[in-house]
Amino acid sequence: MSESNKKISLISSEGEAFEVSEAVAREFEIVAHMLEDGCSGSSIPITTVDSNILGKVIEYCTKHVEVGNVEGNSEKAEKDLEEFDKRFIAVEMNTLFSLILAANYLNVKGLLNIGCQKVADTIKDMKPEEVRSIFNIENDYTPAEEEVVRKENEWAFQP
Amino acid sequence: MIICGRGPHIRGRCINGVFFIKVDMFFTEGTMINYNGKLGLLWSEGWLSRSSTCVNLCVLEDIGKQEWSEHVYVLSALWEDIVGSASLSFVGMTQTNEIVMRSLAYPPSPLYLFYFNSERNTVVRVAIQGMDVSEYDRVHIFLDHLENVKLIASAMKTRRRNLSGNDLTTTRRNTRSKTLENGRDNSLPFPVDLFMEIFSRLPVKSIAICRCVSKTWSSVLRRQDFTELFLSRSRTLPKLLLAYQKDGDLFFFSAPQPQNPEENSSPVVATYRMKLSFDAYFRNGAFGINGLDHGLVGLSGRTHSVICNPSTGQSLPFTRAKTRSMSLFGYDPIDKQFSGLLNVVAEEYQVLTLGTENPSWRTIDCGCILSYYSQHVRQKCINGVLHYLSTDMSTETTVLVCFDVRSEKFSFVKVKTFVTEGTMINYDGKLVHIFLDHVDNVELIVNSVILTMVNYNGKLGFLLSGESGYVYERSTSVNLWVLEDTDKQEWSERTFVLPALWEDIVGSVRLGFVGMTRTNEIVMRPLGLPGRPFHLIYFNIERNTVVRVSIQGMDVSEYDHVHIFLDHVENVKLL
Repeated sequence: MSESNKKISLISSEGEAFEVSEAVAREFEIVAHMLEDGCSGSSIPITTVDSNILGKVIEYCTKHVEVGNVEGNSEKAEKDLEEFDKRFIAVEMNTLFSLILAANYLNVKGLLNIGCQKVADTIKDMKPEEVRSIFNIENDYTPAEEEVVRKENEWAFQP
Repeated sequence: MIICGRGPHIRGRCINGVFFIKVDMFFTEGTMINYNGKLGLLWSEGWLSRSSTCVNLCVLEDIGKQEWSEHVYVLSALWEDIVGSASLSFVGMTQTNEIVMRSLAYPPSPLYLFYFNSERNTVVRVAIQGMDVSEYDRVHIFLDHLENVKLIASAMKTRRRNLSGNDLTTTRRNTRSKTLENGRDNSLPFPVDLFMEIFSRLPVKSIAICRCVSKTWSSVLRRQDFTELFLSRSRTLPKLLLAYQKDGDLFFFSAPQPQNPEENSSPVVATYRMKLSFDAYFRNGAFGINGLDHGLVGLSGRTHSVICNPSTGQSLPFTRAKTRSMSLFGYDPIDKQFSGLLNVVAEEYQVLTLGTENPSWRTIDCGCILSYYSQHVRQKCINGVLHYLSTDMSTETTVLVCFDVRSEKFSFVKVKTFVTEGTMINYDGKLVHIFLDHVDNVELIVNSVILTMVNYNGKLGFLLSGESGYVYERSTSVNLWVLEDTDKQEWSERTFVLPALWEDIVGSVRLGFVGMTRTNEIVMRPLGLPGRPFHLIYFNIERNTVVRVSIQGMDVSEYDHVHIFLDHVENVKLL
């Protein structure tokens, strides 16, 4: 890659600049498209993502670019990456939600995938009350309505 | 509520479901905006131009008390330089609280918007290109526009309706979070497509539980596009569905479907899904069972038919007008509706479309007198066309009946090409095709239906081995008759030679066809081997391999009575 040394600045919503290699920036599909469309500027504002989350997304992309560049030993590298993903996504819920929103906006498919899967895995065995509490949802069913919907989905509450 | 304005130019704004109309209390032409969920009016003293120094915002804090608060934003020092000689008017305020203004009478320049960020006290000029308009003053501008996939209901009545009678309509809120007064958030935590993406990864059971979380969640998780998304995810991991009858109950199990199984592949383990008590519908337990599209199963007895969803444990019974009839089930892939079809007497057919406002039986004319075979008819629905075998009473020949579920039109295809010597009989409630050389063995033949219909690359096919519906250890090939063209009544025959190791793998056994997977593996089952471990034979026609796959986890004494359905998908739809 002849352009691998080119640096690009990604600007967070607070205005903080993160300098990354073009290869890492291209992991953000939204940025890759901008570059392909001929946006030649070296700094790209990411106005909807704050510094904390942008830093994390860059960390994720950097790791994936690094591993993707290593030749050979692919099985070990793949396992490594799996381990990394697992640790990376083990964050508290609010951060996880922010990461998913950022990955969705920036179109980082791998991160979006592990993020969505993590949320699904977390709520998989929860009761409605627990789901409400982690998503901060108010129960807007009246007791009568709730009884109806519970009855309709009764089979799911059986062990 | 309909509000009548004074003239055609009245502007209104709807915030959180309350419709506001403008009041002349500020003696100015204010622009209505949504300011953090409250109605705000933007105005300035005199014309907004380079000489303006500030922008005013009045916010309706409390409707009941008619309380207003006033904010004054001083324009930045560079205002004059950025605006130049333009006259401006307000467009509105974005959700991130930027005040947006537009240039008026600014020819011959392009359309300019000015973004005033009051928090950072910055003004930015943005040129809008790409519109070939001569008078930019006449362009209407709307901020924070969202793209919405919902079709606006037309005067035409919508055909689909939730059968449960719970009229939960799709949420009208946009997908951005709106915090309620008590700090709790009742809309979705994510944009709706992202929400569906996450929830389509959950098991069916968890989706049912999440429907109990809130009304908004429930309405999203019942949406047709969510059902489709879930189905498409499930299709990537198709399952085996197994059902067996014990006393008054039908037990459903599912197991992962082996994908291109190889020799010595590990056994698959079936897990229990649900139990359907059918005593109420099928007295004496006699019923026909058919695997339908989209993970559903159709059962038909003498007086009742039942569609059940083994993934959700739901069943939807419907009574037929007359007894002594059979039920077949078709699926319309365009309107995504199920139809139940039956004939009461030979020439009279009735159709019921499920999912409509008031499902009722309609009589249709098939233009032909067909034999009636009781409830045990096998069917196959492919791309909205329901296929089953019957006998044309006028010619006494076996015909393939093709019923287009959407247009409700019948067509009949001769099957004489490959069903030559035998005849169709109704033996002990089962549709059986008998061959002369097997007459001495009738007891064994009637154990299952001989002719197995399959979906071969979207076309209807029949599996046979030679002229028989069974495969033996001494068999050398399997034949597949494919209906190439319904109108031209064209059939093609394919012959798949069994590999050399066939006999060693299957042993001394008689096998019946289960069907064909979407990856074109022919699946067979051993018959008449009680007490032996339950297994299936996978014949891969492309690689010419035969593999034995054992199935564990079901405590059944008579494996011959287990109904097996290939390529089962999980469906979250409530019936």
